[in-house]
Amino acid sequence: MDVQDLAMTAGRAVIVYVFTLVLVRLLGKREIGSLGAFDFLVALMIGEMVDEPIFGSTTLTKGLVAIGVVGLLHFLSSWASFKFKLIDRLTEAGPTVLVEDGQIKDKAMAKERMTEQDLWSALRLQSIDDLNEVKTATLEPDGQVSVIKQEWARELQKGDLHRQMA
Amino acid sequence: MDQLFGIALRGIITYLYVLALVRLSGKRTIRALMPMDLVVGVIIGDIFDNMFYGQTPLWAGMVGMTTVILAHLLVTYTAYLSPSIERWVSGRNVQVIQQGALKTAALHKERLRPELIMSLVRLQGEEQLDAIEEGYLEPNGRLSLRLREAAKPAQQCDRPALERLLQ
Repeated sequence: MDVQDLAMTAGRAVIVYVFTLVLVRLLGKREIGSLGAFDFLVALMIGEMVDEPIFGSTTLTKGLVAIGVVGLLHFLSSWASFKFKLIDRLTEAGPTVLVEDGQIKDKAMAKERMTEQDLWSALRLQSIDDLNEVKTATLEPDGQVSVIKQEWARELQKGDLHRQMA
Repeated sequence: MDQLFGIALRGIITYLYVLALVRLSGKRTIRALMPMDLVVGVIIGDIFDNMFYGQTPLWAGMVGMTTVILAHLLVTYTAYLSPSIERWVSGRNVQVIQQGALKTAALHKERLRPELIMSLVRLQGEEQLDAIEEGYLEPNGRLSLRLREAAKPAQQCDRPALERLLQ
């Protein structure tokens, strides 16, 4: 246990922390919310890269450059996929409709390798126990299942009671 | 065998140490409320395996982790004290939906395709934008919605209207 060594480790940890914070802020909200598959991947990659500059297994400059390059590439790819629909189609999977008008779409389920059990677990989490209530259930790009209910199954809204509002 | 025992022992020590640090850094880190919470989670997770497998001495790992948590406490505390620092480290919420329509310029700035916003809208059980008065992309990357008055869920205060309808 060399005190100077530990102090260096502490110093490098502060620099890496600040650097990563700035990077994540520059990448924006989509990175923080892991809105797309690549946002998740980049968070994992950066997470796997930060230890080396902190503990000095690589130089600080090299570590920061590597992390910065991954961040830059991610910025460019998310920008390109915003600009060009084709790139978006290649890099991000679109939503997949799993249930339509209460009918499970077997092909879509097979394509996403979802079992009926997986689907039911997602539906139960949204307090749905009757498939008939479901107008569409969609597997969204971030891996969550969204549910739109049939008109008759949706909760009463203010507009239903105050006719003049609707 | 000795080596395996060492890994197990380091695993236990590291686990307890990380648990203590995470508790110290507060609930906000656990829920990853803001950019810096994500950063801390990611760094701690990475240091963890180094200590576990003994690639770095236990002491060095502890110092590294503690420093990161201290920096995190300092940043979150100054952000708490000063709104302008808060804005700088967390960012602001951005309005992406106004009166049932997407605000394209804001989406452009966040590099978010309209399709992705629609997926976030569906995840909140809404199919169309008509019902939405305002939608904000919050600093944590989630979408918050303010529904039009007519589309808000009925409440106790709507009972008189319901009773009138039933008569």
